[in-house]
Amino acid sequence: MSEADEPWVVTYAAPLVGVLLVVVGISAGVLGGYSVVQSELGLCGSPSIHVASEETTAGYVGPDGPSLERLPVENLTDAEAAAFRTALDAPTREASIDGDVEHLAAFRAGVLVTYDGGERYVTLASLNECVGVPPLLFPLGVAAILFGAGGVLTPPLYRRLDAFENAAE
Amino acid sequence: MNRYLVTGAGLLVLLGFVCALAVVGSRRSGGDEGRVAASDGGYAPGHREGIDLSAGWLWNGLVRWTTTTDHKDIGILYIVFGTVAAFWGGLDGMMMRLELLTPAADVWSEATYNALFTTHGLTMLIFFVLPVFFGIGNYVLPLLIDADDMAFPRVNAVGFWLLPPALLLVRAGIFFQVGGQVLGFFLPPEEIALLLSVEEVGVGWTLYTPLSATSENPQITTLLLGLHLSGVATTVGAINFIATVVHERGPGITWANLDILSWNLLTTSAIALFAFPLLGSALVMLILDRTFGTAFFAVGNGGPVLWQHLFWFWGHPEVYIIFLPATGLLSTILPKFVGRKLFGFRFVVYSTLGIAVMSFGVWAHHMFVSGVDPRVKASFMAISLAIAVPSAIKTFNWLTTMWDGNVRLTAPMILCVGSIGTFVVGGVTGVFLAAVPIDVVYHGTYYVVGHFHLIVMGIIPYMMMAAGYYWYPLLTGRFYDRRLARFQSWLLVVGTTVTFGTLVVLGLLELPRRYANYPAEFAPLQQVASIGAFLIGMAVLLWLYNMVWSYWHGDPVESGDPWDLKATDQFTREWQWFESRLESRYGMQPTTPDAVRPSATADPDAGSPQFAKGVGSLAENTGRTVAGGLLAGFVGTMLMSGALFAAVAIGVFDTGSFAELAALAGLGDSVALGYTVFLLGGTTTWALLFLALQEYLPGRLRVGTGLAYATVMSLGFMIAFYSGQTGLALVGYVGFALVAHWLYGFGLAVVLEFLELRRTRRL
Ligand code: HEM
Ligand SMILES: [Cu+2]
Repeated sequence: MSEADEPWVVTYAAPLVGVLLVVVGISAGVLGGYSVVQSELGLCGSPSIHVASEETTAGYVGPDGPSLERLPVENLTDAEAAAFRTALDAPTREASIDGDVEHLAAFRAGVLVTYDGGERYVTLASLNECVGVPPLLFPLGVAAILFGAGGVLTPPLYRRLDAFENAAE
Repeated sequence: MNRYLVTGAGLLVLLGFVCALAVVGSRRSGGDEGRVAASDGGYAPGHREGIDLSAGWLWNGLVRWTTTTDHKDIGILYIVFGTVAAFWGGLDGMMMRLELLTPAADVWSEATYNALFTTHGLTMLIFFVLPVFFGIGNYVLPLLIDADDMAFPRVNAVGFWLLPPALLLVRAGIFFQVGGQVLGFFLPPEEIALLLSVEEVGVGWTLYTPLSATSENPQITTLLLGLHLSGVATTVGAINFIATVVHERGPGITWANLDILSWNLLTTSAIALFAFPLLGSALVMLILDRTFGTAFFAVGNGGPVLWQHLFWFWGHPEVYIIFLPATGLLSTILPKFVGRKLFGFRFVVYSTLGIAVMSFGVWAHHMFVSGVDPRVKASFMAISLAIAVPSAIKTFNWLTTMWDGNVRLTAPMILCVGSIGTFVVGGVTGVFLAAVPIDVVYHGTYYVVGHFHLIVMGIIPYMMMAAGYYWYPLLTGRFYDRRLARFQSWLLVVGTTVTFGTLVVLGLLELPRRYANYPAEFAPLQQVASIGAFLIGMAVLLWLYNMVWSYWHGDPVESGDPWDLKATDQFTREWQWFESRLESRYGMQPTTPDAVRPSATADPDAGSPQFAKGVGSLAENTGRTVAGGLLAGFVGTMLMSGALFAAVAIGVFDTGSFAELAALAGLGDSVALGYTVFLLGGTTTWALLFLALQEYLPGRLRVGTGLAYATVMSLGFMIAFYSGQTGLALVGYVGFALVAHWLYGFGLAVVLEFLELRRTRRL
């Protein structure tokens, strides 16, 4: 069969629809799949905070600095306080709050946490939200990929069929 | 376990099974085993060796590829390296688009997103584009200019081998970060504190100070070192290209007949030679600021704006460094599939040189929202608007080459046409950004991302793939799967347009760029953009599959002229080299087509259209042509005036319109002055425009062309001179306007034809 007599629906349209399905399937499948994995493995939901260095903090508390709320470390929840202390020593100055979060708004705005006689400027580093999509997306996405693959494979399949029928004649 | 997880996983297993079946099926049917390629393009033996994993084979391969100084081998190395970088940077892009499917920053964290767009930008701009172009240049440039090899083969190899370590230095953060996390399970944090402090850099690919100077992340310094190393590699490569084009041209290759791709590579190399050393200095200054306590970029010294100046003094020329080779490829490939010589070759070269010079004078248009004196901004705005002109010249020349041509829609041609389309949209959106008041609003939005991706995705990778297709027979002695390639090309064009067109729209809605999260009302458009991006991803994978699969299974070429270039007199040097190689190695006889027609003649049906039908150079003709045009325009306008005065007499045309024209030209509202302006316009502007356009307007006879031109113009006239006529008066107005224009077009064409007749008779 020459290239010219293959219907364009087979050569172009079917694989195009197929690729579209595959692509939509990838989007849905990866998001849906990841959302399930993420919550099963506890990879999300605990926000992390950044504790500024002493020098940076000093820039915020001076007379010219912005007026900031102060929050004693004792008022933080256990999880928040633990995260604060971990972040103090962490090389990246960050730690995630694994437990109750009560002062999210304060962290989001930026707050001076006072502790053991010192104080540090603390901000929210990441909300670390969970992917908010229905888990049904995962199976649907994979199914779309499967259907789409059929579309992509239409031209070679068609050629096989065509060769088969012509051979039979 | 979650039941959705189970269902989905089950389906995934099924998918894997289907894939495996497909692979086995294709192996079994393995149609091509019997066929042996009859030829090759130079570096691999005619029949493909299977992949043999014995130690000796691997060792030989390793030694060969790491020590080669053959320009063709190094070209391949560059191309492979650039492709790997493209996949790495592309993966970053896909990960970003995945994040942007949902409004919240929930797939990756905000910090990860920042790192992704930083490394994406750097990997793509520095490690993908120029390496691939240097690779293509390495392979074909010596063939095109009939040189034995590059001027400095060993420097060539060194230049290449600096790149892999540079890329690893730039992207080392990911290894450190992941390594730290893994080791963190086994070792106490104190022992691996350094590792734990390293993260992928997230300060943005422009590395603006003070953030890049003060962030503690040690990886920033490593990244700067890697960039510096890559700059050295680029400079070395650029010098080599310049020396090759200047000194290694074979006998018979002069500046006058140097091909367009070599011109573009030469120009690109020249820009790189001036731009990259400057980037190097800026990078070293930043490294010193970070590690040695210098204060180049501290407030009070240069300040953050100093970095911006230095960075963009490299950054804007870099834009053209990566863009010009693509235009060179387009100018090379497109004419082959139209059967015509590149129209206005000399002007394309001039525009390339013009861009090279101007590209150093526009850098501050990236700083319109920084603290720069407004007067300085105004001058940068002017040059930035002007730099659109050379690019427009190229575009018009491409279109003109295609006009009325014998277009063969092969995959490379589809990519050429697609490139022109995306480039026009990408370019025009850029012209808007060159205007300060517009940039101030859109600089921080997705409009910018859409604009430049239409170019960096639209034309650059398109042309790389087109070159891959076009020279595939030369490189491998086989054809790629042409149906798949055509499908892939269309898919790529569709994906790019959908993705980045949507981003332009998102930008017009003023969605800020560079954020992992966004307000929920933008979700639908963002999802469309992501789907488009995944289409691009699929298209790229299909291309790769085709390139690899066809290496073993493609149809072997049957002659040294697989594209039938001889028939249109475009059988260029690299193909001649290929043909002679086929002949000397495999005894494949050169072919001769049944008919050969020239690729450039004045006959519109046969070759490239010319400016004017007359003989002599453009410059010689210009004066005479312009004078003739003015005369013809005057005659035409007088004829037209007759019809218009008749219309005035009947009462369907208002002379007040002439007064308005005068007022518009700032001459007060006098009818006489207005008519003078009209007369001047008809004599000069519109007549000269006709001269410029006549070759491309429909109509084989000049009179027909003139009438067509006048008809189009009359539409504008009717709108501009409309003065509230209704009913029958309106009909009369339209009718007279049309007839008046036909008279104009008729007069114009007849006088021009007469002048030409007189001249050719005398000759
Ligand atoms: C596969 C196609 C591509 C996709 C899906 C893609 C996607 C993206 C995305 C999502 C961003 C970040 C936008 C933001 O958050 O503001 C981005 C930025 C960027 N991309 Fe691409 N990209 C692609 C190809 C390329 C190519 C080929 C190049 C260069 C040759 C490139 C160069 C850049 C640069 C320099 C930036 C940084 C822009 C900035 O600083 O705001 N991209 N890209
Ligand atoms: Cu620029």
